[in-house]
Formats: sequence, structure tokens, C-alpha cells
Amino acid sequence: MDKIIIFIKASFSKFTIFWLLMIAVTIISFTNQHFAKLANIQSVLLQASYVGISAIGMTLLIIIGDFDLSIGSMLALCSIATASSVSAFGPISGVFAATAAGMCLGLFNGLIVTKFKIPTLVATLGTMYVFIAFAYIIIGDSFKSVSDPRFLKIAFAKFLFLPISFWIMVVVMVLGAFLLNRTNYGRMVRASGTNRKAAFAAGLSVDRLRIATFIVLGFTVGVTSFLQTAQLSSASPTMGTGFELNVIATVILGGASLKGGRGSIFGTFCSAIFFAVMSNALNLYGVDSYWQYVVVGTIIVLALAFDSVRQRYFYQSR
Amino acid sequence: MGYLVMKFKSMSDATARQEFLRNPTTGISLFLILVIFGSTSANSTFLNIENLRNIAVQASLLAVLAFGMTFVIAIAGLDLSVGSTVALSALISAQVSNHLGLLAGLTAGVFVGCIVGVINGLITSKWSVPSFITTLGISQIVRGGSLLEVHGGSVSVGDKGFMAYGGSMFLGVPYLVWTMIAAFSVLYYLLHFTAFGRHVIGVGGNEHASRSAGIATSRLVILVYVLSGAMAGLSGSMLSAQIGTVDGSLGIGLELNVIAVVVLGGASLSGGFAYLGNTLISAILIASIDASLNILNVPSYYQYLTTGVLLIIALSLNSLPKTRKIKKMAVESDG
Repeated sequence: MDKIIIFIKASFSKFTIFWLLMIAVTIISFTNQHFAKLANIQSVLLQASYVGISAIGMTLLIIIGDFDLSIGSMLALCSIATASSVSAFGPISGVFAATAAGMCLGLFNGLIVTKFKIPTLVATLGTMYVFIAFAYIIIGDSFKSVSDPRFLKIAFAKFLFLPISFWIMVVVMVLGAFLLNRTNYGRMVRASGTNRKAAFAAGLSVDRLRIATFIVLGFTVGVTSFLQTAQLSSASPTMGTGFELNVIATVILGGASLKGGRGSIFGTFCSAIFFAVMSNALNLYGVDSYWQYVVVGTIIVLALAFDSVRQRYFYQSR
Repeated sequence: MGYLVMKFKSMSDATARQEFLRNPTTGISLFLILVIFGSTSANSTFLNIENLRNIAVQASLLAVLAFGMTFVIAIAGLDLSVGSTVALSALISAQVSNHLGLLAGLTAGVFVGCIVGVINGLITSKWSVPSFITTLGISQIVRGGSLLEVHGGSVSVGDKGFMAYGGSMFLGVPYLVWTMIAAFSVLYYLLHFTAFGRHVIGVGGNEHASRSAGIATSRLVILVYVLSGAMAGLSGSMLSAQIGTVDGSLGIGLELNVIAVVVLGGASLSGGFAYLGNTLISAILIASIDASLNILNVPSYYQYLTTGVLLIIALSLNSLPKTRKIKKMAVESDG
């Protein structure tokens, strides 16, 4: 019995967001009969996957102690690459175009951050402007639509009743968790995030790890852009506006620390679903859509305040 | 320009030259001179008094925000809520001025900013939440608040005095620019001639040491966020007076623009430095680039490209010589 209590206590402190999600889902499904319908769950999971896939890449980057403000612009550029190549060579080429574009842009970010020694925030702020400028230069103030029916079907395709996008998010999550927890790369990422100088002194090529992590994030943004283009059936420079801050908020709510070294892939996964559930619930209750900003902001602040206060007491009581 | 060249040539010492080149003021001043010369030679209307006034007004709106952000960055924080605060205070100041006139409108706008700042400061310092997260969350709340305030609609400025404040001039210079100059003077005084200013630099340099030295750091942090909020509120009211019709979606993404301005001015995100003059020059630089692209009929999105490239170039120029030096030192100490 004691063991169970200890386990529950541990999981509360480690997976706060998981329990938060469970509580929210329970309350909402009891108070609103539309929430637990299959169609609604499908739309929630589809929405979660939009932010979730990139958030898993961002989790790795935040654990290593960096973050990336340019992914909104990156999403726009990758979507343009996707849309162009799908129109020219068919849907399969879109996957390659999207992920290749994402990885190239990630590499670019990584090189600028590590080789020019610019603080990540400023460097990715700079590339954010550069990327969005290129998106506008390529297609101007309009959008590029895609009409390939096989490609558009991907957005609505289901597997075991759930949207393909969600399954892709699950696959990315499993891959991310494997990378982080079961490989040398993951251990080195955690080490570099916890203490960069010590990791460097221990012989890790921290710069190469950071570049690799930027590329991983670029890959996940590429995947997101492929799915997003299919869903919107078009690509436009404005489609990633505010995306970067949403993704960072998701990762932070999932238990990561901006100081690096701390974060969990599963936490991010739950947190992406949590945000989607909350916004869906507000819609179901008929709350004015403007209130959603207020609720989301309050959740971010309160969750983080709770977390930091809890940590302070945890360290004091030790 | 000639003066700068002469000064540069007179420096025989290589390190003095390097210091001069690495000084952030030099870099952005040179950029600014380059932009002004380039756009004037491409199109002489750039130096029209109308155009210069327009640049000054745009630069003032940006600079007032950036002054507040300079203080926040000096204590190693970030304020991502200024974009939303601009929207909310623009709406409130427009509404209040419609009923009670110019002064009440301005006061209300600044007051709204102060409230947002108090909340930011309290959460950041008392609950020790990283400022990036606090202000990100608060910015969402304030954005929601400003959209709710007008239910997604817009407010038109009706008060004569408020409109005159936004549109007319004193001694040939727009009132908005005078406001910016006043804000600059007050903040410059605060930063360089008061204990508050020295404490800001101290806390940014080393918070623990400052606390040990007896500075009430958490009160100082709150004050700095209030200052940033007040500046955002002032900028919002100015914007409201200038454009006349405001809605709740004003200033989306503005916070990143403001951070770019401050960083271009040579501030370090790890805190401990504040250059108000550089912030002002860099705001003028950004406004001039926008105006010159406009005059040269270049699509407006090229301004993103110039901002981004400027940021990367400016910061890599700052760091490249330094890293070489550090590497050399590291090698020497190893041997």
C-alpha cells in the first residue's frame, strides 16, 4: 500500500501534466455529452498533432538548453516546398521536400548559433525574419494551393478510427523518447543541457550535438508542414504566425525547463493534447473564442508558478 | 562621417581600432549613415521634411517600447507582453479620451500598462517563474482581454485634443516625437543619475551579489516590469492617437520586433548592460529602413529580410573577434 502511495506521489510530481489531462478529460466528459463522441475526439487529436509533432522536436532542443523562435517561419517555408513539389511530382515527393527543407533550415539555424556564437534567442529571431522574408519573396502576398486528390486525402485519412496525423505524432513521440532515453545521443543531450561546460570538458562535441538537435527539430517541423499543407490544401507565408510560441508553451507545460537539462517527451505529448482538449472544451461550452486566449495564458502562468513553487519547497525540505 | 574617418585614422593602436569597431554605437551609427546616404542617392525624396517626420514618428513609437525593454533586458529578463499591452492600452486610451479628453486618455493608457507590468513583475519575482514564460502567458491573457474589450470590433478616436496630439506639431516636430524625447530624458536620468539605475545594472550583472549587497531585488524587478509596461502603455496611447482607429489585434508580433531593436543596440540578453542612446539609434535605423524600402517601392516584406540579416550580421560581428581572442587565451593557458 505504501509503495502504491509513493508511486502515485512520484507520478504526480513527474507527470503533473498527465494527471492534469486526466482530470480535465474526466470533468469535461461528465459535464458535456458531446465531448466523448468519436468525431469530436478525432478533431481534438488532429488539432493536438498540429502542435505536438514539432513540440517533440522542440523538447529535445529545450533539453539541450536552446530553443528556436524561427519554426513558425520555417513551417511556412516548408509548406511552400511541400506544395510546390506535390504539384510537380506527386504526394510522395512532398514528404521528402518537406523534411529535407526542414532539416536544411534546422542545419542553418544550428550553424549560425554554434559557429557565430550568437545567443540562440537572437539568432533564431534573426532567422525567423529571414525565413519569413524568403517565404514572401517566393510566393508573394498570396498562397499556393494544392489540388492533388491523393495528397488532400491524407488530412482526412483514419487508421483504427483515429486520424493519421495523430498516429504520426505517436510514432514521432516513440522515436523521440527512444532517442532521448535509450541512445548515447539522448544521454549526451541531457548532459549538455544540464551543464554545457562540464559536458564539453568531458569530451562531448557539444556544438555538433546542438546542430544535430536543430536538425531533428527541423525534421519534425517538416513533418508538421506536410500534414498542415494537406489539411489546408494550400501553403501561405502567414500560416505559421504565433506557431513558435505555442510550441514552446506546450513544451514548457510538459515539464521542460528553459534552463535546459529537464524535460520529458511524454510530458510534451500530454501537454499538446491538453491544450487541444481545453480549446475544444471552451468551444463546446460555447465560450467566446476570445476567452480562449485568457484561459490558455492563465494555464501557462499558473502551471509554471505551481511548478516553481513546488520545486522551491522540494529543495528547501531536502 | 569625415570626423569618424579622421578619428579612425588617428588611432595608431590596433586594439583601440578594434575597440572602436566593436563598440555597438559605431556599428549601428555607420549602418544608419549608410542607409540614409544610400536611400537619398537612390531617391532624393527621402530627405523631404514630410518623410523625415514620418520616420521620426515611426521611430518614436518603436523607441518608447524599446526603452522599457532595454531596462528589462538589462536585468536579464524579457517582456513578451508588450505587443498585447500596446493593443489594450490603445483601446482603453481611445475610449477614455472619447469621454474625458486627452490627458485622461494618456493617463489611462499608461495606467493599463502599469497594471500589466505589476502582474508580470509579481509573478516573475515572487513565484520565480522565468520571465519568458510569465510574459508569454500574460501576453495571451492581455490579448484576450483587448479582443474582449471591443468584442473583436474597433474603436475610433473622436476627441479633438487626442487627435491633435497624434497629428499636429510643436516647433515643426510632431508631439509624438516630443513625447519620445521626454521619455528618453526621464529614463536616461533614471538610468545614469539615480540609485535605481545603478541597481538595475547591478542586478543584471549579478543578482545574488546585489541581493547580498542589500538591494531589494524583487522590488526592483517589479519596478522594471512596471516601467516596461508603462512604456508599452504610453506607446499604445501614442499609436492610438496617431492612427485614429484601433482594434484588439494591434501589435501582434511587435514584442519580437522590439527585442530585435534593443539587441541591435548592443544589449546583451544575459543582462548587466543598458544603452538607451543605442536603442534610440537602432529604432531610428529600423524606421529608416522601412521608410526607404517604401520610397524605393520595394515590397514591404523585404524589411523582414533586412531586420533578420542585420541582427545576424551585427551579432556575429560582435562575437567573432571576441571568440578568436578567447580561443587564443584558452590555448595559451593550456600550454
